[in-house]
Amino acid sequence: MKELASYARDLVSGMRVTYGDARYVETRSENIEVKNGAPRSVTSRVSRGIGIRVLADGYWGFAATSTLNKRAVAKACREALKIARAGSRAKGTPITLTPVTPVVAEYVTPYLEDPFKVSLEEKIGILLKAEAALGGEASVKVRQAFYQGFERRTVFASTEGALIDQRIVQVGGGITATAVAEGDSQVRSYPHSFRGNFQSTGFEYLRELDLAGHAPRVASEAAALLSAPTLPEGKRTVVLEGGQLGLQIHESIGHPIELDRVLGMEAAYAGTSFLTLDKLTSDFRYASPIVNIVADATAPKGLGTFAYDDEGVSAERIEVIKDGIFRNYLMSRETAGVVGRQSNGTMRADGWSRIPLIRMTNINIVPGTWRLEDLLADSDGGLYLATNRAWSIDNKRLNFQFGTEIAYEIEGGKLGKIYKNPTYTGITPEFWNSCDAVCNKDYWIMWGTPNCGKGQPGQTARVSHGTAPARFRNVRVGVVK
Amino acid sequence: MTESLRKIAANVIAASKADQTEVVVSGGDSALTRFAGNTIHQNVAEENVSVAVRAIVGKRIGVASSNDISPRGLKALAKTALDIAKHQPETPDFPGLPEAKPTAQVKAYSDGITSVSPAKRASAAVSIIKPAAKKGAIASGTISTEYGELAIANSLGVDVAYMSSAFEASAVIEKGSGAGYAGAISWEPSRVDVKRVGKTALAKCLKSVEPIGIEAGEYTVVLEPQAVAELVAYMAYMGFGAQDFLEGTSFLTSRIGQKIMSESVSIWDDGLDEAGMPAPFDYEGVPKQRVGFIEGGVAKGVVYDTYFAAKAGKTSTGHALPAGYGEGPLPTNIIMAAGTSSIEEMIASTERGLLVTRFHYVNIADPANAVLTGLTRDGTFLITKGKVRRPVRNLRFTESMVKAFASVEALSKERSLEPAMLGAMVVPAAKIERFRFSGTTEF
Repeated sequence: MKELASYARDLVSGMRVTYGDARYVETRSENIEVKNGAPRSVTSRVSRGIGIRVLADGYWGFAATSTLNKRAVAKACREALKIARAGSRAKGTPITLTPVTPVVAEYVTPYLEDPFKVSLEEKIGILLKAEAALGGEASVKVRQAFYQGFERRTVFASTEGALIDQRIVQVGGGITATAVAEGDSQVRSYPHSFRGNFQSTGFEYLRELDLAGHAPRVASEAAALLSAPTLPEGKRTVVLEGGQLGLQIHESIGHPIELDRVLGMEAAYAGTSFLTLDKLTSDFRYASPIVNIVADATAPKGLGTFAYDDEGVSAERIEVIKDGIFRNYLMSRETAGVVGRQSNGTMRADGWSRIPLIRMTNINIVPGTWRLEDLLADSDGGLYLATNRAWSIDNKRLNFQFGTEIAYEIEGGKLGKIYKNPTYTGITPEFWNSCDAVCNKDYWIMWGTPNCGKGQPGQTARVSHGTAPARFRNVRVGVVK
Repeated sequence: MTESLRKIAANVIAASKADQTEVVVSGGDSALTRFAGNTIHQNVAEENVSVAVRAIVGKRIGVASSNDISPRGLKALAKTALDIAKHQPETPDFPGLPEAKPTAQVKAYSDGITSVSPAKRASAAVSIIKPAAKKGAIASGTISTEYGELAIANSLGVDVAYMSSAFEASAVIEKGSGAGYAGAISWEPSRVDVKRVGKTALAKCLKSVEPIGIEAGEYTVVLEPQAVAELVAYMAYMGFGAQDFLEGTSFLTSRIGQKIMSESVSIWDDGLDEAGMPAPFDYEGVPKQRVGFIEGGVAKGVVYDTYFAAKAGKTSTGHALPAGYGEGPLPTNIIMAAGTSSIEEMIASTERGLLVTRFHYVNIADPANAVLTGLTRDGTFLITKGKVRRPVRNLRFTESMVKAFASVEALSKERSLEPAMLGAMVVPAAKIERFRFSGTTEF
């Protein structure tokens, strides 16, 4: 497909455009769900095509086709140019791009075991065993186990001379127990909710998860939640489990730092950001001094790990929050110039038929110094909130509310009494400034979020958050009555 | 025009070695012009044809999809689906694919969609941008078109196809601390008044500048149709599908026949109603039936596909989603009954309350009790003594939808087609008492 992408690139070069790129993308996924003793769905999906992006007369045009021959690609090139020219009717500020050094390169996700070469029988066998191990509780009416193997091959060719071929491989899975009683249902999951956890690696990850080994605890907790009280309203010290902290970072740091949102480009849909441009140069205190956040596209196993983004910019590790102070946005070639900087390689598209947008890579919290045991011992009377169940945040990313599957009272350094339907809410900078402890690297895990929505037409990005449990003070909890 | 898709489906079925085979072929073109900061910043077009094959061997099911529609690609796709089916255990309660039933004709497509060129989309965007810019405001939004074809066939004789179109315009206009939203969608482009979308969003924006902060708490709310649609969509996702209903996690489970909402509330699904975005059949090719969820406040039922209908001893209502996604059947053509009031009358009869344009980032907080959370957005106003007095800063609600729709005091006569999570729906405006806001935000 390098030939077709290069053909498109050459055609566009001859159209007197300012810039152009062609991206051939082939995505392949295998999804398995086992439910109550039998396969619920076993699905293979493949989609491939080519998208042509041109910058002409100061405006973008993009056209994509799944017909992979020169005639269809030439038509898409002409359509992209026509669309760009139509854009100039709005008479805005013409788009310019910050420079990038074009490269010719190849990249493949490091892995041990190709997930697409493991037999279906073995995959289903692992899931059936895990699902059966959820079966010890009578009130657990729905037992589920999930697997996904995913790969994306991208060939990127730009009019500036880049030719980049990347193959990203990802694997994930998990289990869920749903306990049901009259007028109530409660869920527990492992290792994460919404089909499990996902990493850029091979099939070895599913084996490492040991789904069956964790199933009895998961089922038992789901059943116990039915008779647990609802978390009462109050202001409490909370320790967020790593997966929940990942989503907290995602919603209240990852999205606000996207420069396209800050500049209003997402205003009509997902919204903008409270993190206005003045905060980039004013030492804005985003969080307490112990909080350090990086956007690291080079981190092993992240869903946002790659060698080059979809503009051909190399992957970077960016300091986003340093000692609590805001330092960097996620930027594209188009937006970086607005703040006098260079793209930091965060443009990614959801497949061949979508344009790249600024997307999170792996937005990670740098490990702190605490052992979890010590943190719990130091947090008597607090709550430990685990496993995301719901999320919501306003369109400037200030007022958030999360629900988790379970809350535990921290009693004598241990996890004690449990509550159902736990929720907590806050205002982003206030919340992050209340963080006074982050666990160390021994508790740090790369959590995958394969369903981050943004843009119109809608795009789904696969991103990650490396986290360790962290403590926050004076948090409003128990919002659901 | 759907003949080429039907031919693909027929060829795959003819060559399939599975006991039963189902083929879903979807194709079409879509285009979208996106504007922000009073300029067009994204402008895209796409054409695609995708084929999904469900192969059945005994009670083993394999699903594979691809957009490689070459003869070799289709052959490989059928083989992949068959291989998946062969290499797995049985799903004992799988009832087999549905048999053919006559489907109704619906008008879901307009030739007008083909005349909306990139230049016309750009002009439509400019018709929203220019008036906003004149008032010193900033316009963002989209103008989009979609032309689609769907053909479904199976080895038991199902062979159906239809064409659809969609034209949508939406705008968020901001000026300082003020923001206003408006949008419109239809399968018939001439029904979408783009200038009116811009005018409504601009007027709302200008009225909402310099909002005041108010305390969280219970308020009477007048919800405009987009706000109603957002709540109904999540309610439907939580409760109106057979999977959650049968598994006991729907708020309708064990409540069928009970009066759970206000008598004025009736909500149903009707894929054949041309006031919505019609669809004559579901993703198994089963004709869509009208299904009532709430009638006169009484819980009535949920939608089924072939699999869940068999589990419940019922027949499919024609609400299957594409195979392999695990969500179970869901309604995608929701309609809510009109009332006798108007937004103006609802405001005039409110001593103290809030007028809400729309909600943002709604999510499920407690599915068993239908509790949702989310925020107001793009135009929230304080009503006192029967008049809209001031814009207010946005608030977060955390509220049970059963309680909220039991507290409906009035619904508007006029309804509109509103884009929503499960597909556009026809809904009125609503006045609801004691709607609980649990928090506030800073803008």
